[in-house]
Amino acid sequence: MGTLVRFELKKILSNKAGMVACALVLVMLVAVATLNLLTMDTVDGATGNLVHGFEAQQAYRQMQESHAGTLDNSRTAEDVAAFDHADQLSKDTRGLSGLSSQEITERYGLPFWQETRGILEDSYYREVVGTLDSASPRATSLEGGVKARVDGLLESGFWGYHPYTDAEKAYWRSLVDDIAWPLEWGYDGGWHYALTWKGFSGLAIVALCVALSGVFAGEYRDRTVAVVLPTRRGKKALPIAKTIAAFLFTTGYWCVLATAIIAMHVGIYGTAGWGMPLQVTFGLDNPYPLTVGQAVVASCGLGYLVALGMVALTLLLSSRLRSTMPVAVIPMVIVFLGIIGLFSTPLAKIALLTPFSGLSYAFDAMVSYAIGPFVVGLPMALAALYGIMLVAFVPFAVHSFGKHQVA
Amino acid sequence: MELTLDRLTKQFGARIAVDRVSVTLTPGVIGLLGANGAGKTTLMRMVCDVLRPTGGQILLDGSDVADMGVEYRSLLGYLPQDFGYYPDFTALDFMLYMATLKGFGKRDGRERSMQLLEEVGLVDDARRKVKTYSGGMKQRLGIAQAMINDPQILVLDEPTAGLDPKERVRFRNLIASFAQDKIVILSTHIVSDVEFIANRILVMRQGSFVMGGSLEQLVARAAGKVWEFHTDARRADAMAACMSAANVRHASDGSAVVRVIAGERPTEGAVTVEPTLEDLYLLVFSDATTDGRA
Repeated sequence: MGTLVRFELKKILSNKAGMVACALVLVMLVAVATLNLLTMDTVDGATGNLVHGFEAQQAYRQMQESHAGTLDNSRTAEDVAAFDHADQLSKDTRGLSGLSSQEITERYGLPFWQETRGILEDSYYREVVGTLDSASPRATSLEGGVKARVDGLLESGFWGYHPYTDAEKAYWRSLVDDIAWPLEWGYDGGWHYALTWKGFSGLAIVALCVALSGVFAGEYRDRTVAVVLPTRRGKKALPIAKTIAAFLFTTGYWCVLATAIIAMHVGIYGTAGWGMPLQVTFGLDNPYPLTVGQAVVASCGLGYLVALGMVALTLLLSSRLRSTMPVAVIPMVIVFLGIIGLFSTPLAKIALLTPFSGLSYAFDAMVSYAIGPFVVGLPMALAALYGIMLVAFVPFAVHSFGKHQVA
Repeated sequence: MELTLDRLTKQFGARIAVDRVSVTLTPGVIGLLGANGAGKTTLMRMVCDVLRPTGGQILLDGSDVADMGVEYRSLLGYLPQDFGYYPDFTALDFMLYMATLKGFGKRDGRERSMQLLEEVGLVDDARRKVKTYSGGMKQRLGIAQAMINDPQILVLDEPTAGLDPKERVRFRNLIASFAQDKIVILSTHIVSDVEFIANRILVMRQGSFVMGGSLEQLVARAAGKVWEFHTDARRADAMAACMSAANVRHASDGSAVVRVIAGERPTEGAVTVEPTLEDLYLLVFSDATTDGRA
């Protein structure tokens, strides 16, 4: 079997279109990540100046690290007081709202900017105070604020359109209860970007499907099926070897891709933040009781499972269709229709089950699916859907190739 | 060993490609002769278990090959028409791959592959990619892969397509020495392919066997129906066009010898001559189009 699998891997690797697609996705990911860094800008809290690129990244890191610590009630009370003071001082200073950060620094000096606009525009303060303000009257604990904020989202429905059932509301509230309170805060740069890039692995899945489109259909197209089928191992061992080779290739490519995305971002932005709660990365209304590190591992695993499910679909199509073109195009259409589907709110929950959209929003939004009292969140729904595809489609593909009729 | 085709039928929609074919094949070279579209390839695909018959069955020594599965396929060697290959594989890779598919271990597979590449004259090009091969070289590689497992039933569909005369002779010798105690089914519409090596010839038309037997038996059927006559070279082509002409041979003196297939004397001065298999082929398919249909 090992020898057969090696030959099948060789065939996959000789699919030039597929290899180009896989390489292009990797190059594109690296290029866009580099471009993101180069075009990044932020106001440096130490100087009040707008800074760009690496400098902006360093300034952002310093700002986040300046807020590091446990967000217990006394800490949040201090933060609220500082924010309210900044807000009041801004209102009391005539004409301040019309000035840019640079103009405030020039006219009133850096300490004044730091005391006003520096706090009001700091995403940390906006997130914490905004969350506490979700409760009326203002919450005195972050936990209370988060619960009120999540309740508000649950009442308005997903994207204001898809109402949550009582079972779904209970599901999300139970997740929030499981978050480790009080929250830790800090810098999560590298892991943050690695997580926000998880959706782009959907493009890698397209490349994988292109690369594997010819696993079975290539034999039909090149008429080699008539040579390989009437052999001792042609109808049983061969389709199994092809399937193993396809999954080995998928696994290898996925490892390279995940390593590239993580190494690139962690290399640029640092390794800090692995143990931070996921709310640091995705906002305080994120209900998942996970650390950033757990979310990174779960996202990699979920992406891999989605990739395996899509590869299983590709193998099934490849075993049933005589041309590789539709085999490559159909998964591509599924991925891109899923992206377009997000622009239509009524279709959003279906679109979120497709690879790119699903992986983008997994662990990042309160997307759930309910059948009566049974509720699953988006990550579990994706895992179930693509797991079923994997288990259901592969035997069909193997069987279909073995029974192929050379007509 | 007996391979029996029992009322074997294949229908594609309304079209019957193979129509209740029955024959028992024993070791030796069986030449399957027929025009393009006569049903030869469909028949061979069914024999090779890559196309399910619509009706009838194939029996090997009394056992239905559909039930034998791996056991039957282990006995098979098949060179399909339009032999497909992997362009980025070298010939040796391809042979090793086929050896693996046919159950060989690594060392045995390599030995057998090199031996066959030697026999088909490709050993010096064994490490070249197949996509760089000429048509004839690819065909020789196809023949080699079909024989790699020393099959008891060797099915060759148009094996000499693309081979030059020297390669055809080499092929014929290879098959002749291989065919001892084995069933070799060789399909072709090129008469000379089977003329020299087939022990038995089956003539197929419109999905059925219309004739079968040894070369001598078949050729005898055309006895008295093959004529030759001398005529003026300028009239030869015109006469050939209105008769079932097998050949027009122009001589240097301006005359021509016309060979005609006809039930009766076609013209004054025509004499009967010894028929060949090609004459018989023309006799059988005289009213057929290239797709083998009347």
